[in-house]
Amino acid sequence: MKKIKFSITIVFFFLVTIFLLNFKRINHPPEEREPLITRLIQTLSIPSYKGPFWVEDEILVKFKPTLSDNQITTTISSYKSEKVKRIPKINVYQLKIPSGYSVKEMVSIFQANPDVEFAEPNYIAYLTIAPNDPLFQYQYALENDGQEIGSGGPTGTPGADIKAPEAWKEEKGQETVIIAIVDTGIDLNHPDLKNKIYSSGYDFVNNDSQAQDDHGHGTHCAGIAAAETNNNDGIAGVAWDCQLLPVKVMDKNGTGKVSWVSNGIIWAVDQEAQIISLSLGSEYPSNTLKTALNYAYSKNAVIVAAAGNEGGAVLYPAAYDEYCLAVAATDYNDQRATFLNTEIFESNFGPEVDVAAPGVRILSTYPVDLTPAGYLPYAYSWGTSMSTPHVAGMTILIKSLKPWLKNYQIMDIIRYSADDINSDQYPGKDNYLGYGRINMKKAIVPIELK
Amino acid sequence: MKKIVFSSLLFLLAFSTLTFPQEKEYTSEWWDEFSFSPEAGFEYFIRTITSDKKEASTLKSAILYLQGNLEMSDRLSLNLIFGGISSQYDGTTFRELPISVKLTKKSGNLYGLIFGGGINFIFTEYDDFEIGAFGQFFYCLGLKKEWDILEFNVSGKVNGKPNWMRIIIGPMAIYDGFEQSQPYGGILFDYISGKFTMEEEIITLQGEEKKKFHSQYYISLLLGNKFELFDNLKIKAEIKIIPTAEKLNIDFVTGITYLF
Repeated sequence: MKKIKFSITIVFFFLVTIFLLNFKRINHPPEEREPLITRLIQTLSIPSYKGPFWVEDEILVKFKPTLSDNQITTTISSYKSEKVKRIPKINVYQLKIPSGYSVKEMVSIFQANPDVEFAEPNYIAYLTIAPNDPLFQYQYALENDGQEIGSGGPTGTPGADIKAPEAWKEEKGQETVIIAIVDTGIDLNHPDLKNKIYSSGYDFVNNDSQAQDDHGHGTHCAGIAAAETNNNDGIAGVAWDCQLLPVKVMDKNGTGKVSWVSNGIIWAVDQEAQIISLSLGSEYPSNTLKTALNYAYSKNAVIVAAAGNEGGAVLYPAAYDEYCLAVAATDYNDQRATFLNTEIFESNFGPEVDVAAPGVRILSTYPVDLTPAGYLPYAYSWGTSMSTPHVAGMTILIKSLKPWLKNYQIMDIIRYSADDINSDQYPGKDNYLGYGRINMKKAIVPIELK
Repeated sequence: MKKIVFSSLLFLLAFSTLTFPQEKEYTSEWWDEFSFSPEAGFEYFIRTITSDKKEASTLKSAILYLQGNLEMSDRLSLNLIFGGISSQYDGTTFRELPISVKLTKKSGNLYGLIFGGGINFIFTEYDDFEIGAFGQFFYCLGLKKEWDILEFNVSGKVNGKPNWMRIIIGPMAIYDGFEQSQPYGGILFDYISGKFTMEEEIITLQGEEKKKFHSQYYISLLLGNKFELFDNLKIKAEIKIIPTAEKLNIDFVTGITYLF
């Protein structure tokens, strides 16, 4: 008797001690020690779903049509289950299972009944990472399900996109990363951009510190790269979190002096911009421009530039291969944008082309003041100008995830992770799409080693 | 694998030679107190491990070991352990490389060698119970494994090498009241700590990440039993459970001991 008492005491002591020691940790793991308000905010946005994956006391059962309602009721009660609801039209019963039985057990029990067509857990559906911006559905470039691109617009090929939602699971951006849109300025008051503006920027056309967009092109590019995302308004940007630095170097007609552009690049880098998006170009090389690019590159900035839309040689600055990531355009079918399939432009080509990104029928922000009354301040646009901010946005995410990387490494990540979508015709790097259409998932999400 | 077999043979040889002096010097009183018993066994364990950044992954290891137990007295015994190990590091992610990589079940097994030692000490006896402490330390020396990166439009490779140590210590109670069986139990502090070095080379993208990790939970309940099959042959079966609300953390050990 003594031995038994002693044994029981020891076992009890073991169990209590172990449960106290381990469960104390489980209740308060270090990563969960966050203020309650943070948790609420995360829940209100898009939490990554970790289960449960089915309702723990319910199953769904469909009986064979030969069974009468009475027979079904009898069968259900014979399994000590209760009918919660019946889904009309498809005749599927939502049943509450008896306590003491697991969902798996009850599914097996019902499946064994020859009068049952199928039985399954009442699975829980959850949201994948998709922003709540209402116009996201038209942004095929970010996620292409073969959806209609705009009301009455064309439909694309599923998968002909840059895989943004998959990449967002890993990284959505950091506010410390500043991207300079060196262009026609940015609408500083645009509802989908104003909260992302780092400063009012600089206007090299009018020589003042208000880089307000009077053309529309810069605002459109800014929205593609970094529109405010998951804000229940407008579109989604490639990078959810970052800051936009507007630099106006093009006038209201969409032209600008190389001196303005060069000044703008240097000024942006001096303002701590780590990424320079240049959706502009000229057929003529310029030493001034090249020197400005060299300055920015030496400061570890990643420079992304448009190849151009004339179906000819790659424009400058994109053609300055040693400094710039030159971007060609693809369409919603993962085809190179040619005049034949856009009727508007043809993507330039040459050995300088590094990668491609969607540039056909791209929906983005448009200056409020330039929007006709009764319309939303968003517009579709075409060209390698639209492809460029997609790549610039991807750069923001890589920079956010790995701030220690050098600019040449980020450029190589973007190049090497691209999908060689024209490998049938031109395997490997080619003059038309470079390494291929960018793939954010491959560049950002950890690769599973096999 | 050849290395493991060769090393195991060397180990056996070394211990077999240890027994000769014992036979020769049986007249020595102090030496009579000593007894040597080799043990061979298998261990499989699953542990939740976490890195500095609090991301949890699962370490699953299978160990084939040889252990030499040296009983110094009725109350004290020492052991040396040596073996081969095969492990999976499911979910361990390396984000400080230019291209992040993740180990999964599909990444295959990483092999290595383990070596270390331990001590058993009986403090007191109460009726048929012996109350004591158990401690063991071993080091896992991982062998390098290489993977090709096939997802990119250029060729690249990464190679990884884990090294870690495990320390197990805690009080134990042994019931000595049965003739052919000796059940025992204890609460153990069972801690794993190590470093996984991963190197990446994809043309210009080169980097190295040294990821430190340790076991997330480390208080385990040990239950085991030693059965006497024959006069000089014992087998043991052990289970260690680390109760957690998340992933299963468990340890199975089985061994066979020869008593000289």
